[in-house]
Amino acid sequence: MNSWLSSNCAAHGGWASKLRVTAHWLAVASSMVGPVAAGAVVPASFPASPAPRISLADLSLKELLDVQFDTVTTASRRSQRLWEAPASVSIVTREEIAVFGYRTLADALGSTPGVYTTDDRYYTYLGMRGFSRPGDYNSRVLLLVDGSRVNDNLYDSGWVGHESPVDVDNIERVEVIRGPSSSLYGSSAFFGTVNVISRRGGSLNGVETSAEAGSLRSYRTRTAAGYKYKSGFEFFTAASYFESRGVERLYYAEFDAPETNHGVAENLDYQRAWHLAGNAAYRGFTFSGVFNKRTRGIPTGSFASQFNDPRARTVDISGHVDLKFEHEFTPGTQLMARVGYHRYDYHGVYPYNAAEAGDPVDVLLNRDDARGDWWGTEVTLSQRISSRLTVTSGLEVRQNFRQRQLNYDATEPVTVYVDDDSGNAVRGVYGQADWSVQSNLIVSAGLRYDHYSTFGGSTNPRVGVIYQPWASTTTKVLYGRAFRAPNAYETHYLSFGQNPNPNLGPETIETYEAMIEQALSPTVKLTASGSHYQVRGLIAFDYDPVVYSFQNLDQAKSWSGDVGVEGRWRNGWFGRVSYTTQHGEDGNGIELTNSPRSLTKGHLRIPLFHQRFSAAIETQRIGSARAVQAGRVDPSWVANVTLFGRDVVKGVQLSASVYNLFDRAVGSTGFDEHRQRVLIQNGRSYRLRLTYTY
Amino acid sequence: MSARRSSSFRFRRALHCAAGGAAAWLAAAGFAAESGSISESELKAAFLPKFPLFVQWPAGTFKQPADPLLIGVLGDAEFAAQLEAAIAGKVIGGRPLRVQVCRDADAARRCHIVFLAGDDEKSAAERVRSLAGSNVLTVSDAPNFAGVGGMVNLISVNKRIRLEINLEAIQRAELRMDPQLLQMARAVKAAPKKAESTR
Repeated sequence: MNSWLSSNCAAHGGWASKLRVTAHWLAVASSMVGPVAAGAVVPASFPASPAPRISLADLSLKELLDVQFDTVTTASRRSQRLWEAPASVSIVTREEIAVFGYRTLADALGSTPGVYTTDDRYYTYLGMRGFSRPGDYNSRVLLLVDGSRVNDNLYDSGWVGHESPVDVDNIERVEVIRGPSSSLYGSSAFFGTVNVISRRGGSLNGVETSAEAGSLRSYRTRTAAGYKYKSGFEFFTAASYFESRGVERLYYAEFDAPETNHGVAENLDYQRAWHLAGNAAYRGFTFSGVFNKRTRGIPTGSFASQFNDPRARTVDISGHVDLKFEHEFTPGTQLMARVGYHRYDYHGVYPYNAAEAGDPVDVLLNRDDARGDWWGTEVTLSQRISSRLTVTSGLEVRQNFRQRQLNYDATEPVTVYVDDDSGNAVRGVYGQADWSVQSNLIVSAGLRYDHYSTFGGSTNPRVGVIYQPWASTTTKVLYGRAFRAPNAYETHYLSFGQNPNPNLGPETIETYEAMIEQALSPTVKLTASGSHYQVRGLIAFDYDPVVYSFQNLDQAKSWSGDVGVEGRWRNGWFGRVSYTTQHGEDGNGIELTNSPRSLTKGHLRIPLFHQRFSAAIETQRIGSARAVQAGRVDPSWVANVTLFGRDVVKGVQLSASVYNLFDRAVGSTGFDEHRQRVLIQNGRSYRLRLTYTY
Repeated sequence: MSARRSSSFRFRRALHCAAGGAAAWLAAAGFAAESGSISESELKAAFLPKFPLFVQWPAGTFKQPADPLLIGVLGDAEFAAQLEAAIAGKVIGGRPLRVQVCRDADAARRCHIVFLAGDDEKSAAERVRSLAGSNVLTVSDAPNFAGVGGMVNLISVNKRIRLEINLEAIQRAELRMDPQLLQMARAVKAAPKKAESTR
């Protein structure tokens, strides 16, 4: 996927004919917080105990009646037991995020089997089961916050790094669904769906303030407050600021020339990020809002911009407000209605050398701006028709009333290349029936129809059969279809010689999956799965000078298999090992780029001093992957270690992490917009964090 | 451009003020609670050691004051392990709690509380019948357990556990139940009525 434009710039004024000018856009997802029934484990209405973890044994029977057990809410848009979910699901909890020292949502997701991330010192990209299409800005993974779509309305990007609207410390838990969910959520639920369930006030019942410092002159402060009152009113609010100087001198051999500072990008790896989030709930109503802003220097000279120019940067801003109403009429019959407004801004500054070859450098500033506004509303009704049949149905409307894209040279003479504002409307209707044929056999079938005012309709089913031959064994066989609608960037970014393509259609995927989960003991389980994906009409940029536009160009297919063992003991020990093998190829049978052949992950948590402290070790091996430009990216291996302690002094939490402990070389493929074939990731780094709760 | 910038700035400021104000307001509030993840069976297991607080067995059931109170599990060894973890070391009214994996009804009759595994009404009803005439408190998560003559049914409703109690069955076994527990539960008659329960 080369979803940016590049063009020979001879046509643009006096620019050197060799210069490739590229413009591109990005977006940050705007998000929604509005806690859907989260997996809150401790009864929120109970006085919180200073104990490290409230033990069920210490609760009274009355209190036990208020404890919620683990369910998954994303797979069927209602809460259901993990084994009943018609999908492959992983869950990352707040506890795990703290104990393993995950710094971003990307870290948390990257810990789950079959998921990997790529960082090009610009944005962080997600990959699932062998698919991470370079340049797709995560448009093929649906990011939800409390069940509400966060991928923006220009690039469909769902961000997971510091640019994400999700502050990792505001997460109660994350549900990761592998495979398609368009039958419930529509566009972008293509390779997977990530639902972030926000923390609510009852889990804090107080204020916490934290300060952290780390390598690369990284600092972060955060304050959160939350409380649940006897009346049932509950609120949570948090603010954080992060900044990092980054690697002060990044050397890229590809730019090793006198006019580009001998390949050294100085002080351009910086990042600054703000996150604000809040939610308040009372009697079925939840109001929530999120705001984030991330500014980042661009050290890579990407998109043929002038290397080592201190002005190269990208700014992503997103925000939303959301009002949700949830009501349970009778046990098993629940209504959810929501309305939300989202907005996001992107500003990119790309310095370009406009001088002829051989002439002194003459840099002009190209600015790439975008702004998207949309509102959406949806209603979901889940009904238990009988003890054997549950039906979930819903309606969704999204109105994209601003999709503005602007590209211009800010240096005199101002030249505007792109100035476009479009809009569209999306309507979706869906239903899913879960039928318990017997108590150990469930057949689940769902279907969603989406209508776009631009290209028309798309219908996507999902069918699953879930069978538990014995109490300790769960098997699932699933078929699903999903789509991704062409986004405003692909259809309307019309400049630099690009042709419009009003006929661009949605791309589609069909998937087949089989999986088994076997409990080896009450605490240890074994999982194995295999899947086959078939993608048609993949939207990609066709560089053919006659076509020169986005087209439904490619096909792709993949096979993947994984096996994992996980153990979780009450005394605090936790261990998981997973291995994923994957193979993806395009329509010509050529191996997909940025698709590692294997992923091997190990996680171990060792409780110390009666669970007040823990040592957590994470290891990941990412197999060799075909690079975008040429050759392969070597396999890499990293180990991260976090020591975590609570109540070190009363109310004080301490976390000390070393990332990439053995300082291993880790490479990530350069994309088409990079001159670098491989981008080297950071070496060993440290983080120390203190949190005070009062 | 500049207008847009200032409006986002106002938005940020407003949220920031809200966050700061709320933080100050709450300065005196309590401690943070940490949560882990709790499975459904783990939660069900946690209920069993609570029942002895609300149930009285007929006089003569225990020979010695410190005799253990036996909680049997019939037909689900995994749940027994779960239960073992839930009661580890617990003593109620001077009696240590013990978990017993029961092979058959005879073994179950020697316990004070028995958790009957059963995926469906029919097998649960059979197991209830096999314990008829004993002084055992029968507990199960099988559908409609209280409706087929069981005493306490653990039902999963909306991510929580709810209790259904068949008082007649309890009285027939000569057990006495604290009305406090009845208040927290839904009373069910033995009439074969469909309960709202899932597996």
